Amino acid sequence: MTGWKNAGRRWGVAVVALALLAGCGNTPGMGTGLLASVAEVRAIRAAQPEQAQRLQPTAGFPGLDPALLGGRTDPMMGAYVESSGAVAGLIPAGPRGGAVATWMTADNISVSLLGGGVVVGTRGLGADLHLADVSQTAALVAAGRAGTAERRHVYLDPLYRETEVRLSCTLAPTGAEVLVLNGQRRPVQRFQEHCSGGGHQVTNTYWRDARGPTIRQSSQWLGPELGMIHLQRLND
Amino acid sequence: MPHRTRHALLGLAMAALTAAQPAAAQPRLPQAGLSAYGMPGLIDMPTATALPDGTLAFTGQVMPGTWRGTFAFQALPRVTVSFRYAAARIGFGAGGVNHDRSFDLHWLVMEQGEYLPAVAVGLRDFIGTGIYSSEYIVATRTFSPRLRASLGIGWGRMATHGSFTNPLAVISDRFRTRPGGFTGTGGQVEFGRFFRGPAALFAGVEYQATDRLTVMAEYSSDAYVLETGQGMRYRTPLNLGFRYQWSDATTVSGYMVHGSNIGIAASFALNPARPSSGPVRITAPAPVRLRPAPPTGGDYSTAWAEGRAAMGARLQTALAPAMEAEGLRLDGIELEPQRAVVRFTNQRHEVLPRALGRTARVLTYGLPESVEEIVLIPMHNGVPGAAVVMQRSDLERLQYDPDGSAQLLASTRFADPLGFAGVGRAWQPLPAGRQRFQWSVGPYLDLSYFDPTSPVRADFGLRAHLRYAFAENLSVNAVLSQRLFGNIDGGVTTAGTPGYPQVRTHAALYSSSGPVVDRLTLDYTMRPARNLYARLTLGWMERMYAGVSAEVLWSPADSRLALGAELNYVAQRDPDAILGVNDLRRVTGHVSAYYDFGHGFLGQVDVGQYLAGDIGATVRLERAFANGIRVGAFATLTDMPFAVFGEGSFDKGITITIPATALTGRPSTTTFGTTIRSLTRDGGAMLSVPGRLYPTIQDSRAQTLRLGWGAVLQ
Repeated sequence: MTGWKNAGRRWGVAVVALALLAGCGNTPGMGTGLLASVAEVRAIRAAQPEQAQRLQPTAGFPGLDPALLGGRTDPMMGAYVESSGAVAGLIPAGPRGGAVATWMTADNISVSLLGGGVVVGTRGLGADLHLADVSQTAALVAAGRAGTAERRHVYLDPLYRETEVRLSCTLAPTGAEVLVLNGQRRPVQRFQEHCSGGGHQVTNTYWRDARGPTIRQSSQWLGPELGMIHLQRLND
Repeated sequence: MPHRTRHALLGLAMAALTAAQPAAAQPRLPQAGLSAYGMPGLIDMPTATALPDGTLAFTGQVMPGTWRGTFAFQALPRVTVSFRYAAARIGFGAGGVNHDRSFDLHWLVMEQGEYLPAVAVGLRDFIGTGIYSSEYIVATRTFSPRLRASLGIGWGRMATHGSFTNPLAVISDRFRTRPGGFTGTGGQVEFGRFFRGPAALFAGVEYQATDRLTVMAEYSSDAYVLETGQGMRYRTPLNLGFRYQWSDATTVSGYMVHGSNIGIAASFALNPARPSSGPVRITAPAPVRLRPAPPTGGDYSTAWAEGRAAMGARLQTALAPAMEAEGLRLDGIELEPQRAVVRFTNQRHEVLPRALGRTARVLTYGLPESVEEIVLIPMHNGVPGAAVVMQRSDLERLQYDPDGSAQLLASTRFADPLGFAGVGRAWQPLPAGRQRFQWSVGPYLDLSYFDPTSPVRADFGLRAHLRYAFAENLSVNAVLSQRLFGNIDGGVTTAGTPGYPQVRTHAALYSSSGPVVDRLTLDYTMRPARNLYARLTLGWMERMYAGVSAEVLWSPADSRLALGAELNYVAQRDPDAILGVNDLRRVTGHVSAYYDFGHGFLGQVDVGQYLAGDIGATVRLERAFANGIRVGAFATLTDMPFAVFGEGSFDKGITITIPATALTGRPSTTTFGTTIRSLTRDGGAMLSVPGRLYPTIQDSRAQTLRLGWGAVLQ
């Protein structure tokens, strides 16, 4: 009899141990208690990937790891966030939102571009560029003209309050170049935009297609915490 | 659960999670340091500084013969409040160790000017039995970013070394002497003692030696009279110490008090506006899909509306997976030619406006083009919270606009969901395909604080949550626990309160090593009329009571004010039986007023009859942050005389809620919450009913939505 009892007890202990480790049910999170929450919190922490340093910089511009492209030939965008060292390939997300096109990574980080490719917002990076007015810059680059532009950057703080950085910029063409992007030669016009405001001094660079409004390559300031993002249009 | 606090252990969770955070590399400006009392100060003496607004700080401190745990909160930019639990070997109390709860208030009266220093006034241990009872006025001047010096005058305990006649005696002779002891059974604000008796000067200096290390010295006016009576040695009024910023959140400090006693302390601080986990990282939403322009000279076709029921069903199937990917459950879509009414449940987002924005974005991918008005109804446990009415063209126009959130808020209407298609008055059918039976099993940890024999007692075990839904608004809910180990049942149960039934003081008896039915209830909610919500709860509603509870709540969606009434008839459960009750029957109930002052400041007043039959009122004040951090305090005064109530005189305590988001930087609806009362007595005790209406729908109230509205376009 004692053997039977012990077997039952061992079985019971195993069930309890399993439930303690995992929690179970058809509705996880229903009435979550402290311990399950702590486990969840730790799991989330552990799942945060180390920022992989896969970048292979090329002369004058941080290039993209060709492995990210995987031999693809559809329109893509390579992105490199300087502050985190993150590199990713982005594809167009859904339909164009009017003058704005949103590009997205496989793990749902997005960059939204106005006109030929001036960043108006990011999502999924943390201290994202939440909303922005970059219309004057976009118009100057599209027209290929020198001039001054006012920028408004809006950020969300951890309590979802909007904070604004206003920048005054001067933009001018700085010469013609030929880029080689994923094997394709692209004659471009280069523009530099010097901006200051809110205690920040930043320089954005745009390499605009010599024949059209598309910005083939750019280095743009996202904000005080994220710093610079470098973008390359590929395959289109 | 007023008698047994749950989901707690905030300090541990915060410690475990914040300790891992690396400190930012940039140099820090000198900020208020936390003293051994866990308040702005040096070692034992205060400084005229403040923490960043809204900061919660937990400080644990040990020194031979003294142990203190302090929870401090920067309630307003210049007002710091704290609750402390201390054990001190001072010759009285169990084993010569006194366990004492105390409250502090610190007010930064003015910040440093061109010539004048910053000045603060404070009350230390101003409620209660008062072994730390003291008051002070302190001036602090920052001479350079690294050097700060303070000079102050103290009363009470802070005038036990080098004291002189109270200068306030020039105003009135009453200030010459300080009344001793405490009023009645303690726990009352000791107005009659403030700034009375002899005074003494104290001073301090702190120097930031490196970005992380600060060294401190102070001339203390606290002679540790009680402690030296128990063998503590006192060599000098000079205290020396250091403070080391371990990470953004964590500070450790060490010091020598009076030349003979070494103490150490650690503080964990959480600033809601700058959590160490950084801004919330959340996956990007799909952009709002723009409609093609309507045919020239006309409107979008509404021909589809002929088969709108079928269209609604198709949309439900098509959009539910996209909603699910955003942590949203689609509960129903009702279509009209120009309007869609969508019920959904937020299962991921710590801030409801983000859930609203993401629901709207997903909908633009499926709604027929003629649908211009989008009505979003967040469901909270089957209760429709509010109707948030948005215009689709606004979303299309504003999704990238720097003024988009504000403009969207201006054009969004917050309405009562009753009257919109698909919202039932008395019956809200379960959506097709929803499982009727839901369950989960996981570990639990229950905590019980401040038992005279042990400051924290705990039970650990397995807890099952089960729910069977007949409809969205009618369900049976059960919570079952099996303790594996714990010691709450070893807690002291007092004899109760003379002349009143024992309603809470024997709570420890209800902790059991056997299986426990924490809850088994039939739960029904309904909407009798516009702005009115109603609830009926039947069964074993909490560990100690079973019965029936009925509630009505008047809560217009876009009003600062809400009013409620609740009536309960309960029997006290038998602690030794699974479901049985004993002979005690009680009628208890309250009328309540809830008011949202704006900026997250909330007030609540409950007036009625409490469990023990005493009649009175509870006042609650709470500060809520948009990310779900909430800190509040409450006090209950009833017709039960203070002397009868027992130690503490009346019921009071604090409530703290910390969302997982503030610790992880990831979206989540999970929160850790706890209620800490200075003592659990029978007076001012309320029934703990699950599913009270105001907290259920609070996230959907327009005032709450406005607080976190910035997240709508996130």
